[in-house]
Amino acid sequence: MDCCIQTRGLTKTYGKAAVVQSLDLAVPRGSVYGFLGPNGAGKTTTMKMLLGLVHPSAGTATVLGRQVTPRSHVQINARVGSLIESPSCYPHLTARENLEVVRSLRGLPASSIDEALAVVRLGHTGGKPVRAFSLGMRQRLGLAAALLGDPELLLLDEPTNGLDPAGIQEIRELIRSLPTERGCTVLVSSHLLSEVEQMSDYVGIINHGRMAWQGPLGELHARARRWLELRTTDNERAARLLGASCADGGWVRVRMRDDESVARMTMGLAREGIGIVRLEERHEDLEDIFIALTGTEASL
Amino acid sequence: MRASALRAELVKLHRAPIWAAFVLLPVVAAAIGTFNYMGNLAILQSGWFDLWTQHTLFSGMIFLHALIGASCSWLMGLEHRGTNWNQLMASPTGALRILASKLLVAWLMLGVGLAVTGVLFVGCGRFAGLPGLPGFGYVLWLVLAWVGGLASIACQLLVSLLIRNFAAPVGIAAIGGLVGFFAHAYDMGLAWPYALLVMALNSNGNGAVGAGQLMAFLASTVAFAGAFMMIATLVVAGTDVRTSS
Repeated sequence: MDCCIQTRGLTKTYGKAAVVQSLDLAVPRGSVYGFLGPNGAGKTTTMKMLLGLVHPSAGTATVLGRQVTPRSHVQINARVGSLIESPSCYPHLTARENLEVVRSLRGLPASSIDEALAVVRLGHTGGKPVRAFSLGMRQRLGLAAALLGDPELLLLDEPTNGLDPAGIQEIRELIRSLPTERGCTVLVSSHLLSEVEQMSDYVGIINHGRMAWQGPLGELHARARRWLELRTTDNERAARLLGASCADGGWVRVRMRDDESVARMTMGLAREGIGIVRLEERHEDLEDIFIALTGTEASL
Repeated sequence: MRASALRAELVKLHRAPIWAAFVLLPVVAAAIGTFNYMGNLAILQSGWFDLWTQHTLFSGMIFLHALIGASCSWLMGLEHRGTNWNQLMASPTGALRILASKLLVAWLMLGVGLAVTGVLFVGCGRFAGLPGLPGFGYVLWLVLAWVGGLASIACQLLVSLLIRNFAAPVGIAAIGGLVGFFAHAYDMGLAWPYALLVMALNSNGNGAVGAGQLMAFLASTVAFAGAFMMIATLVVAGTDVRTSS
């Protein structure tokens, strides 16, 4: 697999506390990789190590084909846009001036500012200083700074924080479109399972600094356990005959079977004089899988 | 297009409130100096030179160093705010270039402060009724003070990098200037970074930096500035980025 980001045993400890432990992260090129985990799981520290902002205690990180070292991260970062923790900004400057600072540091053409402002719809803010911006507007400005100059890789740390529902949807759609429209790979962290599900092709679930699971979102869905639930005219007898359990709410729960077995089961119950009132297919949702993997409830 | 950390620093100066201090503090120093001069005309008989010593006595001792402290605190405070260190260090600009740009901008700001000091000196002299204009030597002293100020600036950038507070580094700079005044008085000015500006201004009338002392003065300035910049670079590049979010 061609990866934009690959870490091997990446570890960060502060004193005796391990914030990130032996993390093997693999972000495929051209994907939106959802980095999911509860607050304090180690997502931000991992992203900081990828940018060279935090020095790992052990392990290696390779970004865009180069190992991140105190010397190399400056060159690597020329190809990476980022929004880490909360948006960086100078409150006495306007949105345009703030982007001018980033543009100067990155050596980008002047036209890149108009383009970035248009993408996040901040082109109308004119001479208004950022100190007068709402939290959502600052978040948009942070995104504009990250997008400046069409980077090959974007690291976005909880990018929808502070946005209103319409803004959240807009930014999620923007992130989804980045690989196809700009050829950009995105690593986006979130503690919101539903958000990751909406934006990502790949998912990495981190908990207590350790990678609990990573892979394509489809594979995560495929891990979901499936079963059938029936409501009959005599649940107790039906459960006894099928060797199944009675679930809460007057349902009989049976293992998922193929169509032929299900047909045999329903005819068998009918022969015993038990009428089937309802027959439903059930499966775990991602929330259940997340809890099983992390032992923590994900925010919704 | 080439990345320019210096250009980024210059953009940050737009509408910067710190500029007010660069006018106010020299005005206060000039007002005190002129008041002293005019109140002691009976003993101050050397015209422009006496006005100069009165103007630059407090400037060199405290005000200009406080100004350096304030500008460095402000320049570093911009990055200490929120997550700005993240943005700065995640850019393709190395720690040395970032700090060198801040050094140049603070130096430019000191240049403005010294230019205001010079203009106020001439204006106050005319107001006090001094004849003609002061000689070119005063311009030279101001230029040398600008050069020597590099050492104080580099030191203050390091102080403001380590102390994430506006006022404390300004206090340290003022004390540094005061100690510098006495270090110069006891002929140890070259060994103390804050004394170089005081030496150059010749505010105590002990004698300006002459041709014989110029090389040692420049060497001391470069050595202090280089050493403090090197330490600051090692701190920035060698430690984890700490944000206040």
